[in-house]
Amino acid sequence: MPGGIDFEVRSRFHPEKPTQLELEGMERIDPTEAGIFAHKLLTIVGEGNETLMKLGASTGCRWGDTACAIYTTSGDNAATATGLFFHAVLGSIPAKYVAKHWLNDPAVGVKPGDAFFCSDPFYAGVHAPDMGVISPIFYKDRLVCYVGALNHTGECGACEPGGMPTTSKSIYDEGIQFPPVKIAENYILREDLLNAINHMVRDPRVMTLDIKAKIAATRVVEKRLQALLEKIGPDYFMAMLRYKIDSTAQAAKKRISQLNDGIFRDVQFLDAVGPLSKLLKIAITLEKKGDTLYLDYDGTSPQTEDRSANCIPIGIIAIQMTYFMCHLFYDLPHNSGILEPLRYKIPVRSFLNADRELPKAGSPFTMDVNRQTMWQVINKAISSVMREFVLAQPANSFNTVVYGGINQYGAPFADAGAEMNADGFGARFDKDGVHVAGASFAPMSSEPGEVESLEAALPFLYLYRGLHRDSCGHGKFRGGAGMDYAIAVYDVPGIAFGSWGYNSKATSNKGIFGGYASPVLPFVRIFNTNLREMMTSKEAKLPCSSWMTYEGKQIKGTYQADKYPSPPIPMKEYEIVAGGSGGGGGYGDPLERDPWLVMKDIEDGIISHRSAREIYKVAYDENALLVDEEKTKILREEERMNRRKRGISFEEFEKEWLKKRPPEEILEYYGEWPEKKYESFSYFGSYLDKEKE
Amino acid sequence: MDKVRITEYLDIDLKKEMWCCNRCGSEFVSARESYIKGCLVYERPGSDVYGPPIEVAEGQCVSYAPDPDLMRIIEVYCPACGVMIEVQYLPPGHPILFDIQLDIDKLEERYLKEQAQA
Repeated sequence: MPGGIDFEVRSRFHPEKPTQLELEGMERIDPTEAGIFAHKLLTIVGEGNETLMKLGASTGCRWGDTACAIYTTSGDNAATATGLFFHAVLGSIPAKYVAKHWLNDPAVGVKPGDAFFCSDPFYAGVHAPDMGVISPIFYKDRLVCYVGALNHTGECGACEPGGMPTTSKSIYDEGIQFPPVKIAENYILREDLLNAINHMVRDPRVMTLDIKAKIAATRVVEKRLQALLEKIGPDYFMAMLRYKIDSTAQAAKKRISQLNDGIFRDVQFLDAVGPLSKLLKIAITLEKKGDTLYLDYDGTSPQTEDRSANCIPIGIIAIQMTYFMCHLFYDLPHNSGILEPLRYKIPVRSFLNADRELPKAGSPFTMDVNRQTMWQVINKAISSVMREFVLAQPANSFNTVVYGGINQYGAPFADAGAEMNADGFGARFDKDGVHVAGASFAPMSSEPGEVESLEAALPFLYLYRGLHRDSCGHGKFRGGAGMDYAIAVYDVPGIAFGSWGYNSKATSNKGIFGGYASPVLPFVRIFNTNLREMMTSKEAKLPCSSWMTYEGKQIKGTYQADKYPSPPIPMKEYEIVAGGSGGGGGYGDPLERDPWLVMKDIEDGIISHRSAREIYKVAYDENALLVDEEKTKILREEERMNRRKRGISFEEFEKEWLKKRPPEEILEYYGEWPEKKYESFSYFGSYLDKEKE
Repeated sequence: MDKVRITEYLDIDLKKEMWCCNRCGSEFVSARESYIKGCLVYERPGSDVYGPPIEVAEGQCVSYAPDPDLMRIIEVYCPACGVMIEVQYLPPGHPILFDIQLDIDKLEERYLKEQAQA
């Protein structure tokens, strides 16, 4: 149905049935040759992804919010190179859309040298600033596969600069959203279409360079594939793509089958509905049965009619690849086959499965909280038989700054900050989490950028960046710390400055097995500062951490306790924002932590003396950082005794606990308290087999 | 081997079908129920864990602890040795999670089979 909204194609997430040609070809495949082929493909898409990162101009391109993949002619992903694992599967739907709508359409057609641009979240799954190019690859006039290049461009002409508005009320406030449209023909870019796109965004330079980078990436892959096709021929090539997907699916199922059968539950809460501090709930019930994981989201909050927390199922499933491809299936090829053992049941008109026209710019928050929920239930499902795979949740992602205006070179700019790529990661059963490890959704490539280069590109002056003290989840093994930062507007009269993210009221991180979650994160603005005077004074001492900024207030000015997210507002030169990215969750009871590791953490600025005393119960000399082991043992035994005194039975606890309830205004978007039950669901994967039992 | 380790602090005694503490061995409750029913539970103030709020301007505080209107901290202890088995983060009054519900029959079957093979 060209011209209409295609509700069917966007549900075809799992691998399609193999074609007859693929089935016949697979019979001839030698597994060793297939291994060599897989490596070759990975090298090729790797080169495509590098090309995209090197040529693109957006913040996302520079730090690896990118992916490059090869899709079968049915649109299934066969090989991916990425920093961002959800793009690895998201590109499938636009490829399937092109195959379904344009391949045999006489007015459009799919020919050698074509490229299709797509930025519609309904098909690409996340939000409008994520954009992709899908190019068909032909061998002697025969279509053999598609190649995709995707990245987060950012600015897309939404109602706020940077592409991720927190105040949007419908998708029509969220910028340009193209379903797959032909942007290049016969290897020539359609300048008229590019020109039209550039008329709708605030930063045409970045848009142009990013689109060209995506097309270039697919052309590089095409060139390499042509050489490979000459060698092995199209039939064998296409059968190999299917073989890769099929063998990955078998390996994923085998790993799942090693887990104990059972049901595992979790709930997680989002504290931001657009810019409002309201509560939304994601409920998950994971049933592991045989070689399959069934994920049921009944109990989740309803869609938010006028606020941007909504998501669509593609995004919900895709973000989970950031867990599966990094952890449980870290050693399997990254392709659609990984989805085979995963089945989803998502309530219709929940905020995970919202109507198309509802606002979705904040969907990454929702996707992320959903990923954390799934992470927790998998941890519990695997701990008995794969203890070495247990990893406490990383920080909630996406806490960053957003900005726009005219930069120090007189050019327009608008984007989100790379500060989001500084999450602390979770602790494991035998070691602490990694500090500022990257974005938890893109750990392989993301990094928060180098300050000097950021200051050269943006009208910013960084007062400090460092490890955020006490941002980790405490535990027997603690989570990694997040990043601490303060940024002043610099070298321009002013810009629009805000924050993006959530987690300032309720933490969406969790520890595991007695470990604590990482804390919630403040965001502070300081107006009318004396920073300029301080910078020219020999005596003035600038703060070098947010704790110093908040507690010491060395910088004079008007302080405002704000939060993540906070829509951009005008801020003048020398005015400051201070905040941080989150830390990872802790593993195990903090009283079991080696007290000497606690000393090391103090020395490294990871934790405070207060945490050492109050959480870890260590007796030590605060100046020399020497542990009194005997006194520590006594303190810890006293604390265990105190727990036995203050703890009450579950039955007794529940009697009083269940009488409590959050204030009504907090529950405005929550749905029925404590849990909404649905009658209608969307299914992804053959979940219906289970329902029929 | 009658005990199977399930988490850092929880075992299941397959013979007795009981949840047990991995550290002290004490028995909690039937393995077919939520282990929390056999544990001690306590609501821990957020400021105990994350520190008190910091006043940055008159009437304006920043806090690293969750806002208690939105989220509370529930600690779960072994009643015998006091080890902290789990921490749940929930809005006030939200039902406590029944987080792990293993298929005990399948579990028994699996471990008996593994024992026989050993």
